[in-house]
Amino acid sequence: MATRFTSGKFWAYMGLLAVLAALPWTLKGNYYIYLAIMVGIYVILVTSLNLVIGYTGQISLAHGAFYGIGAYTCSILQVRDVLTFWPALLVAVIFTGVLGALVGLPMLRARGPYFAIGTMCLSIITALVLLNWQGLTGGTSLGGIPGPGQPTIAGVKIDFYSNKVYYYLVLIVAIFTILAVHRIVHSRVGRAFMAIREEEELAEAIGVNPMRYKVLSFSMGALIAALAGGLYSGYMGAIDPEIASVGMSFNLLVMVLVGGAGTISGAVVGTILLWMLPEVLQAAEEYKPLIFGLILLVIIIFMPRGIMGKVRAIHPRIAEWIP
Amino acid sequence: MLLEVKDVTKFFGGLCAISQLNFEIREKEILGVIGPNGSGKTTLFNLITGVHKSDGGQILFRGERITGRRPHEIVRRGIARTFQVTKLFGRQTGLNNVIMGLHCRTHAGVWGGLFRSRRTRAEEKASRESALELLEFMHLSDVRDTPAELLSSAQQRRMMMAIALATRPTLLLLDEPTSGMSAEETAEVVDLVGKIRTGGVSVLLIEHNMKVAMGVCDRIVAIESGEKITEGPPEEVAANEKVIEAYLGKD
Amino acid sequence: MEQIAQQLMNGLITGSAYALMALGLALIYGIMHVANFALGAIYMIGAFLMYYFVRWVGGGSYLLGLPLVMVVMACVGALTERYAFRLVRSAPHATGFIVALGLYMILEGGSCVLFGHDWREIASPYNDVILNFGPVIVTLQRLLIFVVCVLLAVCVYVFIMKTLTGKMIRATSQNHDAASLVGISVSRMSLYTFGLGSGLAAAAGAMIAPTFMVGPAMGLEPVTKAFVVIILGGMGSVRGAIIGGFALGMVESLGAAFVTSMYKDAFAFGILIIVLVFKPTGLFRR
Repeated sequence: MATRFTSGKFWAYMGLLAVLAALPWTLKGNYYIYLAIMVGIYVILVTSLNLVIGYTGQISLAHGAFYGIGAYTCSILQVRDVLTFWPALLVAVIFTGVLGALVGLPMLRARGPYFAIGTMCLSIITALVLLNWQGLTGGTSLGGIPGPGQPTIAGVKIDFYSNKVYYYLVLIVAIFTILAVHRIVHSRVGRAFMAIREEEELAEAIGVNPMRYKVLSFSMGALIAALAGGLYSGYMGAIDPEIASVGMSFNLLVMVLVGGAGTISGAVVGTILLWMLPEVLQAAEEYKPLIFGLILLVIIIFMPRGIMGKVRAIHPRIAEWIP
Repeated sequence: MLLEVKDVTKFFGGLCAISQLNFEIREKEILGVIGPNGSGKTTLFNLITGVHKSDGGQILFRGERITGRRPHEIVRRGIARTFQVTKLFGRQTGLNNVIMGLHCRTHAGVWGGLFRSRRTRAEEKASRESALELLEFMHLSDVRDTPAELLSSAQQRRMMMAIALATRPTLLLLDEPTSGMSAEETAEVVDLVGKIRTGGVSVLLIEHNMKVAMGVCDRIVAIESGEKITEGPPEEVAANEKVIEAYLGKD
Repeated sequence: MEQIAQQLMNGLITGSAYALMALGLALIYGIMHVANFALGAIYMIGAFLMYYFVRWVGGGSYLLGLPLVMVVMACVGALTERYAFRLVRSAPHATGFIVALGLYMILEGGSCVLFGHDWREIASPYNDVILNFGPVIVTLQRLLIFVVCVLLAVCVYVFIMKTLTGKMIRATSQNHDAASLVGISVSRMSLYTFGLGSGLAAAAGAMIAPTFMVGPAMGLEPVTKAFVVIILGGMGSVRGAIIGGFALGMVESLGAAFVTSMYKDAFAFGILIIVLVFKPTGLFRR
């Protein structure tokens, strides 16, 4: 009798999970755990952008803005003593998701470069507002964010200020996000996304309402980006408007495209690669845009479907094992 | 009366593509549309399915105005179509293509997809079974796991029909379904069209192949330069002077 | 009243730079349907080249540097066409845009590494000469910007409309296949157009440089605004680019003076968003 527990794939992923769970204990030093946490947060963020680009085919450069709005909403609510971390996170996520839908509704009627430049304008305006509305956002930086803190749950004290603990938080959220996106993509909704991306005219001719699904994916993408933003703010304790900049949106775009837009593993691979590469090269911060730009150029010209797009196309068996 | 096209007109810039077109389709009827290239046949399809907005006149489906509605809304009401140039979800398997067609007749949303409730799972199972039946009906069972872009030309055109049928239409618009087909393949399609009508679906058929049009249609509408030149049973239309002139030129 | 005249004058001046950039973008988009975002980096490098030229040769040579900068950057632009954009010519349009983004990142990132992050000033003698036209005050530098940009725009317009090469470029923009059929090399026209567009963007950067600080990030907003101009004026339209550029400049100046100067840059972006909301295909068809 074949069940999930006899499938080789299941155990392979369980093994991967075990490795990830053991990771903090094998890393030497806080810096590496910090890296792991950042990669985890970015995996969530890049997965959300992948949902927009990979599944509806629209290049959005507003994602940095949603990340920033999520981070700032969550933080401002805490700093002003309106809510504690978890409720603030929930509010930030819902707020940004709704914002994504409201913004997406008009913007998604535009195509191609119109849409891309439009989202870029949104990004620039968001960064400008975050910087200039000092009363609300603290201008160049917003600090003193309490984050999840050190609550006691069921008699156990959980110290979220500890790197290791925060790592597990991010890991769990990342896994759930990936599973959720995977499920959606392999459902009726995901099929509609694919249809719109592959042949929009045909999709319309079989009853798919393109606007509805484009706005849906845009809104879901914004929502998940806000989740990543909230987690980031809870970790760092202080944030600045740079996180909502166009530069951030560019970097995210590179991560999605390098990994492979439209593939779930692509988002993960792209993120890890583009975080690890500067580390391995011992490159200073200032070389990053140059390196990223070069990688983007090479990939888009020679491997447009990204690394995982190419790998998965080699054989259907691979595509089955790696989503 | 299933579909009524009343005084429909369409301009593209200064060019009149369709002018005061009038005709009707009844339930369980196969109506053919013939005319030389550029006479406006595909434009007519685009008007009925909502791809273009008409500049005058009305189109009624089961008595309800559909002029001005968006394509996906019209599909839900029961009109499906195929395209002159083959359009498929090339990278998807045959089965997935047909399942895609079932979209407008199923309901699962984000929550259903996320939580895989019993209802959603039942719906997915039913979709799969319906799709397999449709593939069988269209003689496409053996390509159910093949990416659509790898199918032969004739198989691809039948696949387009299968996808359109999956939307459970009451009126099916076929745009040159037999183009590029051999005699055998054409006969297969003709047979299928007959069966589709028997199943209760009316068919509006654009055909260049005169034999097919004469053979399978109950009535034919002949169009030239966007205007109807005549309408009636195939033999009458074929014998009509203006039709012969339109196809062969004045002599 | 005098305020308005002053603002209009300022607007005309910044508008002329926008018009030049937009012209470059429009020409490239018209021929290859590529939204060449990299022009923003070319604009910036044009400014840097002018900065180093002035430092090397001396302040009075400012205007001499302009043709040099234009030619160098036109070659750079042609190189990007030949070795990057041409490789993705047959891919969907989005790919070209992504290539442009990649090039922008490379050029801006590279400039950061080569020149450093800091903003710097170009000392131009014309900055200190102040002219009065009735109630309106303008520095010679700014007047020069206007004159040079208008001259360039007119030259390009004449080139595109009247010369043989210009007509060939226009023909190619309308229909690649038809152009090839009559013996026009689409590749060569594309090469020229990318070069021309780049030269224009570099000129805009070089001219604006002395009135503004020069830094690797300086090109992002101007190029985005130039995109706003061509989206509003018609993506491939030469006339739309020029008129739109001036119009945007004036709207910005008036807005900054009478509404708020803090969000001055946001006007262009806000206008685009509002227009896209009501007309997703832009204000004018191509």
